[in-house]
Amino acid sequence: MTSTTGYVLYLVFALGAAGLYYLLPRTGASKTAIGATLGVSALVGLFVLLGAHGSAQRRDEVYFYLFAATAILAAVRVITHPKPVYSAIYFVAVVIAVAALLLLQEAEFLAVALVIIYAGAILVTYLFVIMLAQQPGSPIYDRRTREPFLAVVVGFVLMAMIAGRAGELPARAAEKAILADGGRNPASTASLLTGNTMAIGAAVTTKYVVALELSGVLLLISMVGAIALSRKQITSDVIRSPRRTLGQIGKEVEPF
Amino acid sequence: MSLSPSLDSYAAIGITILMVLVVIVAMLILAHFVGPSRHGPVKDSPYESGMPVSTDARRRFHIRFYIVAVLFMLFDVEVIFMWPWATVFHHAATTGATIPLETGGVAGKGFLLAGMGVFFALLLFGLLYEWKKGAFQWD
Amino acid sequence: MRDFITSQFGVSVVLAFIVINVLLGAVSYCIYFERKISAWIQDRCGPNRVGPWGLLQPIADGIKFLVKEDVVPNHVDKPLFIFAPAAIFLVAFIGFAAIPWGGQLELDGRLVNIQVANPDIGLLYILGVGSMSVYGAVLGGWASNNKYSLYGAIRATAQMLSYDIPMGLCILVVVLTMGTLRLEEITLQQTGYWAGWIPQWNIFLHPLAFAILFITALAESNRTPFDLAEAEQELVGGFHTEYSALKFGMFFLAEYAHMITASAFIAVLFLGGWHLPGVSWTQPQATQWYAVLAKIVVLSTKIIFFLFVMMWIRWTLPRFRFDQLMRLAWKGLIPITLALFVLAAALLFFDRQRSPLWALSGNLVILVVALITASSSRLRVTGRQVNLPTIAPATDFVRLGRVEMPL
Repeated sequence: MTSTTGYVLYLVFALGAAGLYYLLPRTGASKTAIGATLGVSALVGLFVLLGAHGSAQRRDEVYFYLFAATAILAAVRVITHPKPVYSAIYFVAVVIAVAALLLLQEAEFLAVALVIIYAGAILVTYLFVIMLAQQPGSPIYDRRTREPFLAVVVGFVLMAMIAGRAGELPARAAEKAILADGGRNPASTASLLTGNTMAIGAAVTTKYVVALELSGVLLLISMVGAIALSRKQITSDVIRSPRRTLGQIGKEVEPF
Repeated sequence: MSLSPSLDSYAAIGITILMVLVVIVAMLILAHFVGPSRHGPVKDSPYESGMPVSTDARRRFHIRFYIVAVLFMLFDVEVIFMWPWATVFHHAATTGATIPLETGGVAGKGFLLAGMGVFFALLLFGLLYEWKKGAFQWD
Repeated sequence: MRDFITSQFGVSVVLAFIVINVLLGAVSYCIYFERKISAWIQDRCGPNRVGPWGLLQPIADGIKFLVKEDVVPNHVDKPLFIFAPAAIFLVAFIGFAAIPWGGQLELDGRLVNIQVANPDIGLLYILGVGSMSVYGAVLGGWASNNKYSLYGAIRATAQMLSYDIPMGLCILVVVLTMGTLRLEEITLQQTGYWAGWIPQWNIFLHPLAFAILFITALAESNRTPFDLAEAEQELVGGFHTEYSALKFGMFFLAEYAHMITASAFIAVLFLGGWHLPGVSWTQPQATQWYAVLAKIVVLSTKIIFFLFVMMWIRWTLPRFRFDQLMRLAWKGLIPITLALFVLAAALLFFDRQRSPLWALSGNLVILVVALITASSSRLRVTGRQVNLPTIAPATDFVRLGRVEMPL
């Protein structure tokens, strides 16, 4: 990536950041039109830049642009929509679009895992939390962004840093080659890696087995956390006795 | 088709989704235009078995449901690790294939089983903990 | 053009078109058969006015759905109110794409799969699509802004989430036995025989996993005894109380489409898919059109059998209470399926994964242990009554009203 391209890329990101700033929900006069114009032009600029610098022209490139645009637009709606439930739905759209992008990279298992975990579990929990905590009407914190300028600047810096390193990422083909013949026992390794799912399974349970166990511990801690969070809420109401399970609330209350 | 062969399947799924979307849009449009549209104050209010509506429906609900959602999420994440493991473990157990380790050894079916065994034990411990704490007690 | 039609992709597109249309027809007739079977079970006549034996009833129902008023009440969240039935319908009608309907067909010298898509992760595709079906219920209930709808949606969601885990673990047992996530290959691996005549279907290896998968399929499609989300006596219509006309019809059709896809999925995983014991085609005939047609008929028969059992259960068993439902999932099915998972892994480790003797004895042990644990538990199946105050004399009848019902 040449330095001129790099600067153009930063410029496009700055344009997008400005657009996002105007798109964020605010209490005063709406400036959505300005924001949308800036944002769309940034997106078009980004895609033109990508198209001009695509290393290998692939015939399925149009799908990349389709899903990438969907993901970005839906992501913008996640943070700009005043209703939290809609934000969650747009988040689902982002997840599905990103899963489609992963499929284009032939990362099938990751795509399906993303849909099952994010769309099927995490966002359902989000929806539950939104419903659990909702207030009647539309509260002020849903209609106004608290620190729109700082948030946009931080996001811009993060994106610029990631994009600045984008040229240094190893190409996909090279990564595949390392996976396939990096082992001491080439015959059996090669036979193992017949599919994407198997390759991930082999990596997770051998090379990254410590990380796997650590994630297990992390999930265990989250389970404890879920109980700790909810117990306090419940026991503080009616019950004074500390040793009581969730289901026993109200059992000791004498019928009148 | 111009896509690579492995993407053909997903293109077919994409076309299936488009076909179903056509059906859905057709149904929604038909439903909107064919039937009559007669509004009235009673028809426009929430159905509460004929009682006058007292409060807004979107109220807070019991925290148990939230716990179920969180626990499901955690279990789902744990189970998703088992899918790729199951395919690799089956391969290693039936063909005797091994995977080289960075430390120099090779990982056979025993190593794979032990790795998932520890992970599984953690999951089991979590389940028992939740059980003991009464998170599954709904009565 | 002919080249495109006979390629795998062309066949996939044509098949997708056919299956969607067949499914749309099948779900309307499912409703007819549901009513006929319920009539048969309850010694009534059932629909018999529209056409011979009431066979045109689905068409009359369809016309009714269409010409009724499509009420969108004022208090609803309009975009989500329209989006919810579309979402549940879409999810219910794309799950079939990974089902292998009839093996391979020879077309112009090429072999094509009679399957819309045969991705490497076909099994996970169906699971992923299934996990999205929560949204239709939860959004429909929330958007309706109706208490019945909201409670129905919350119940439906909690139930679907809880039964998702045992379902995943049951399927994991199959994967540990078969070693592949491709549904076509899972079918092919079940075409052999033990002792020359017992088909190598997974049901003969893990009957317990099969039973639990069937139970979770009932729960995931909100069928009795798991239809608390639309318990008429408590919640009127559940999450679709406020829906009318074709939008209500979409919820209805989606439920039956979900049942059909789930039946096909179970048939493929545990009953050998299109495999008919005793019939084996040799290669030149195995890929001809009549063989493929026969396979499709066999799989459809298995699906129809499952649908019949689901309807039979609906008109036989009463509905669970919500606490029973949650207890069954978290304290019953999840521990049993975890044990089955350990069993499948152990069998695989000792290379006994295809040995019915070992697998069946393991299943038997798990079943016996589970039954003993359940029967020796302090809490009976009707758990809650145990904790209730003792039945008061009739004069104190009012007191019982204090006990809070679960949501």
